[in-house]
Amino acid sequence: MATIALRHVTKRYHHTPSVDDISLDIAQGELVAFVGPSGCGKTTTLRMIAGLTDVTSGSILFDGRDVSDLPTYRRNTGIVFQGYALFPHMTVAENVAFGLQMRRVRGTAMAERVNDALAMVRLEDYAHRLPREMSGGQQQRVALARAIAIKPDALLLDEPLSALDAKLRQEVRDEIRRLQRSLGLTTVFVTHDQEEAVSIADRIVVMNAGKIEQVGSPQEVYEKPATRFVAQFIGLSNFLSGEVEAPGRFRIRGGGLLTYGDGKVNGGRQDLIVRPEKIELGAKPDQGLNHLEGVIDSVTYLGPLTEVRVRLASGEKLVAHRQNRRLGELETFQPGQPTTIAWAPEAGFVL
Amino acid sequence: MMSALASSLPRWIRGYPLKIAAYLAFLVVLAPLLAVIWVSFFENKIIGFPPTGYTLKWFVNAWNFERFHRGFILSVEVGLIATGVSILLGVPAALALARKKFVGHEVVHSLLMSPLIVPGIVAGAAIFMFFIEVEVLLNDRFKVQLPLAGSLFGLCVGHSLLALPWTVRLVTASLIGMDRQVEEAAMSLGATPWWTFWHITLPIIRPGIVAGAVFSFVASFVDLEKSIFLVGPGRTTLPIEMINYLEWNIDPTIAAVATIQALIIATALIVSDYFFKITRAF
Ligand SMILES: Nc1ncnc2c1ncn2[C@@H]1O[C@H](COP(=O)(O)OP(=O)(O)O)[C@@H](O)[C@H]1O
Ligand SMILES: [Mg+2]
Repeated sequence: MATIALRHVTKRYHHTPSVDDISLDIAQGELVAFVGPSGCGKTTTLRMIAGLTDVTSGSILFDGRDVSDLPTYRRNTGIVFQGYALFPHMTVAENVAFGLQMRRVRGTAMAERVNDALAMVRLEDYAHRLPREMSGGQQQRVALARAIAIKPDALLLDEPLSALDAKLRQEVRDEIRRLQRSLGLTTVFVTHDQEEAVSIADRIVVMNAGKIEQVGSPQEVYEKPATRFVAQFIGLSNFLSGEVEAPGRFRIRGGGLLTYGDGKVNGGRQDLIVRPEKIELGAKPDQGLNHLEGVIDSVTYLGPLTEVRVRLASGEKLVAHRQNRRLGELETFQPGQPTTIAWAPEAGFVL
Repeated sequence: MMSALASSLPRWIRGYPLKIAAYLAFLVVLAPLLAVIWVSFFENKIIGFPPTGYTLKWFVNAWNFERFHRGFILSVEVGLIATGVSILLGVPAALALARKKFVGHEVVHSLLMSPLIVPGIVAGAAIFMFFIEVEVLLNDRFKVQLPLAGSLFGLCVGHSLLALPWTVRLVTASLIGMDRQVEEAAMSLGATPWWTFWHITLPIIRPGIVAGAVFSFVASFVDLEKSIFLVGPGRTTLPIEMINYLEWNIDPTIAAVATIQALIIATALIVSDYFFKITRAF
């Protein structure tokens, strides 16, 4: 267990940067999720922390100690890959024992630690199985046990849930979080899935094209995205085009005046952003809410909520999410029907 | 791969027609071998149908025939040496080809594979002429008398060459099919690259290595075309002894020898597949 620090870490392949000048401090016992679209440099960053890929420039520190030049096998990291990467010719127990053997742990001490690690992922009864005799979820839990058995300075997970189906994904995710918390492991969790990142992380690092767009708690990156990219990538956003007239005052196309809480205050052409669940449908004009009129364009039932698309006078469409709290409510919304939408000023921001 | 191909075919072909075709192909491949095995038990000296009766005397005959005996032993010896050389050179070559990018990658690959493509007679003649030239050169320049053509050494070199592509090909296939993150996982757990190679990589590609060894041995054991140019007086491999025998005799003894040959090869394949699952290497 250690703190991890990235200082101006850069990786170039054939002169094009895959990871471009990233700096970040990860506290001891913290779970940081790197999230971003495919190819944005998440895996490369994780591999540099693991020592599997050299840094082109910059440095990586574990507990303040520069490890940039240490090979993987001297770094004491536990890695879990998307494809499990278990040793196919070894039993589950031998897989977990491997890292301990490398650390010269022997005899009963080793047997105990192997058993403890397997117990933590509830697989102690599978010690003598071969990996191919187990399900995907079980294999990934073995990989997790193998990684934590060595008491790593850093637990590094690269898309550990992406090969699993939805139900299992949640189960293994909770397992990772529980273990990570109880062992106080400093953890880097890489995923392309923003929901996964939001649900597991202490802090989220949103990456795009090799750079960090924003670092913050799940709530911060969702409620206060720093950039347009983050607003688009984390959750759903509506973008209303218009102009900032004065700090906090936004004139939309077609003339209506709206107010907003956060964001840029300088004038010029901008977008006002508002999340679908913040928008209320059919509200009466009052209490200082932003109000707009429109026509229902489409209604999509999604189970726990209904997605209603509203076309404004300007032709722009806004998506509103509505919790399906009562049966029969849905029928009151029909495409073609006029409606009003409203949201609190502080729910909107301009980026 | 086969199943992906099969599932791209129209539905009506996929069922029985495909199976029947597979069995037919199997039969066509196996028919001559089955015929030879059958003939080896015929009683009549002049091969004819139907047989007048069945006997084991041709096997006894083959066993007692001195030249088959010596040919067999030489073939096994040369086969084992060629297999050893093929593994010792082929595994590192496969590692380099599968893992490293280097100048001349394609050239080295083609060269190592060429014995599979160049007709055996051509390759045999080429090696023979090369040996003669080296002998002449050594003799003229350095006054060294080194018999290569017709020597045991020359025979082993030739057989090693014809065995090598099997090891390279099968080991390369295992390496390409292997998940490299397994090695990375081992190194992240503290294993040095050297330790990782011996305890992770090697066990995982073992089926490919064993398959390479078995095919190397078989390729050497049955080789006729190249060996014709490489054997010397009193130093003749079994397939060549068989041809020599056929020149003067045509009785089921030769079928008995072929049956034993087939039996040895089949045993080698089945036993190695049982222990090392070499079919996974394909
Ligand atoms: N070994 C490599 N050689 C060349 N380019 C690479 C290599 N590994 C990754 N890249 C490039 O670096 C970029 C980031 O890749 P990666 O870190 O795998 O992205 P992510 O994990 O976020 O999907 C991609 O454009 C990819 O093509
Ligand atoms: Mg990746």
